[in-house]
Parts: sequence; structure tokens; C-alpha cells
Amino acid sequence: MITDEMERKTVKQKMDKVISGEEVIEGIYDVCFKPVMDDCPEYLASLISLILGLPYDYVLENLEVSSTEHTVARVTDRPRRSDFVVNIKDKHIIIEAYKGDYSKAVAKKNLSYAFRTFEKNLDKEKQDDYKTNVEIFEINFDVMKMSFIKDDNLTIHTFETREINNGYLHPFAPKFIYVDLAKISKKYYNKEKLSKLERLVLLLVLTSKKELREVSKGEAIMEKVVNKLESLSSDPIFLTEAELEAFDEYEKKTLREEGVEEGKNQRDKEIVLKMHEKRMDIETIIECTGLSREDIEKIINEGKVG
Amino acid sequence: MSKPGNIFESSLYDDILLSDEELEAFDEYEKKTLREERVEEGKNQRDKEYVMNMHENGVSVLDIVRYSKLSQEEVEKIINEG
Repeated sequence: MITDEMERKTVKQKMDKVISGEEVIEGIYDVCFKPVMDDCPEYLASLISLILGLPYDYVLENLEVSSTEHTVARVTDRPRRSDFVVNIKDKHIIIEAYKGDYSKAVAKKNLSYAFRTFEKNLDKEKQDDYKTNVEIFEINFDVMKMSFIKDDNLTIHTFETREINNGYLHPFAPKFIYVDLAKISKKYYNKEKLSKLERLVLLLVLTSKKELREVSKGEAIMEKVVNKLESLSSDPIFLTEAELEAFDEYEKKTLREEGVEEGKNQRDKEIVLKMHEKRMDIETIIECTGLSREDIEKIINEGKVG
Repeated sequence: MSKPGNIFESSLYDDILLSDEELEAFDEYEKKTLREERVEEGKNQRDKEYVMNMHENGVSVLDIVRYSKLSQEEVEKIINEG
């Protein structure tokens, strides 16, 4: 069980390292992500260019930062915000950054937002009659391993929207791109060779100033990002916001950990009771489950009461 | 390739996307789903541990199926992966 005191201590340790000048707040934090993308357009253009396979100069020249407020397709919709939204001519790009689990809930929310945008650009009465030929992309930067993606060596995954029944690929429906920051980070610490895109993306997850300097050395675009992260991390007002965000993230982490423990405990009870019902003796239950005699007897007694 | 059908009436649009109400109450929805997903993850982790433990203790696949909530296929998969 994670207590409030532990939560405060963990967040404080993190903030102390930033205040001492040893580390910076991760670029993936909301409070960093927007200012970095706003103030380092060359970095943003490099990311988009490499992820979507577009020429860098074309992206930089046509890069138009849109309001982070989401497209509202229905009069009843309330305005919602994304981490970052840019337009490049006929391409509408929603960018999301996640420090936590890319849960099914978050996936659903993002699909819903992207489809709201899609809906606005499509004439419902005449499906093929697009009001504009806007292509919608959603790029997700995610720190946690995405549970629905198979464990392979890819660090970038692209998904298109197809009909389940007949496999039809909707030409203008949103395309979803997932950048696996956890895997890129792991590659870096395992000293594996990183692509240019992976090195750029690494700046969103590293916290050590020393490591950030090493990765960005000699690359003007990357050095600018590191300077921005360092400058933000020395601003007291920014640090207060970052601390609040860290607490929020810690709360979610706690929910995850408590959920896993709850699942394990539920399964322990189910299995022990089932073995007991099948007349398995306690010694064998201990051997098969690895649980202590005390825990097993407690489950059996509580099961009898229940 | 077949015609697309109406995307707004497709299973994708109806089943995958959140309703307006769910989007409005997203924070609570996310926390609830986050916890539910992790409870399932905890159960799955324990299933693997139990299956391997029983297998190493000489319990047959059929008996593991009897004691667990898993099918024979799932038990065999865990053992093979383990």
C-alpha cells in the first residue's frame, strides 16, 4: 500500500534533483512538452518529418501550430484540449504525450477526439464526398509499454482505420502512430545504436543533464531543446506546476500498482478455494501456490464464512 | 475491395469510441478503467506463476485446468512460453 507520505517523499526526491541542478523535468511532462514544441519549431519539424516521411524543409516552411483546443464537431461538444496540434497544409496532426500507461481508456479517448476531427471534415450524407482532403494523424509519445502492441523490436507503430467486416481502408480516417519511448530509452541504456529519430525522441525522456548533453552534442536543434529544458527546470513557478503534475502521475501509478495487487489477491483466493474444494491437502496447496500456511488457512476460513 | 459502408454506423464507430458522456467524465472513467485493467493484469500474472509452480511440482495439465480458471490451451501456452 502506497501512503501519502511515500508519495510526497518520492515526488520530493525527484524535485530535489531538479532543484540541485542535477536533473531536469522530463520533456514528456505537459508543463515542458508544450513550451519545448512551441519554442523549438525545428525540433518539432524534425520529429514530424521523420515520423511521417515528409521533407524537413517542407514541414518547417508549412508548419502551423494550431490551437491545442480540439475541433468541435457537434454543437453539444465542449471544447477539449490536446497536448499539441499542428497543421501542415492538408495534414492535421494531433500530438499526445503520455507519462503513464497508455490504457484502453486513453486509447479510446484519443480515438474519439481524432474521429471528432474526422467527422467535421466529412459529409455524413455522402461518405466519399469530403469537404476537404484533410488527412488526420495522431502521434502518441508514450513512456509505458503499450500492452496491446506485440513485443517486437519496432519503436514506432502505425495503425490505419479499416472496417472490421470487409477490411476497407478509409482513406481519410485518422492514422495513429505510437512512439514507444520506453523501448527507445532501453535501447539507449543498453548502448544499442539509435536512429536519428530515436535520438531526437530520447530528449523527451532523459532527465540527467549529463546524458542530455551527451546525446545532443554537436546537434544545434537538439542542443536548443536541452537548453529549453534546463531553463524551464530552473524556473520556480514552472517547478510548482511540474510538482503538481508529478503528484497526479504518482496517484495514477498507485492506482495501477494497487490494481495489480488486488488482481493477484483475488486470484489467490479463487485458486486456493478451488484446490480446497477438490480436496487437495494444505501441504500440496503450499507447494503448488507458494503461499504460506497461514495465508492459505485464512483464505479457506474466510471462504467458509463467505 | 468492398465498399466502405457508413463509417458512422460501423462497429468501429459504435463500439470503440467513447460516448459524449464518457468523454465528459473522462478522468473518473480513466481511473476506473486503469484500475480494472491492472486487476486483470494481476490475475494474469498470478495465473502464470501458479501454472508454472504446479507444472514444476508434477501436477498434470488436466489437473492444472481443474484447479485454475484456465483452459487446457491456455495452460499449455503458459508452460510452453515458460
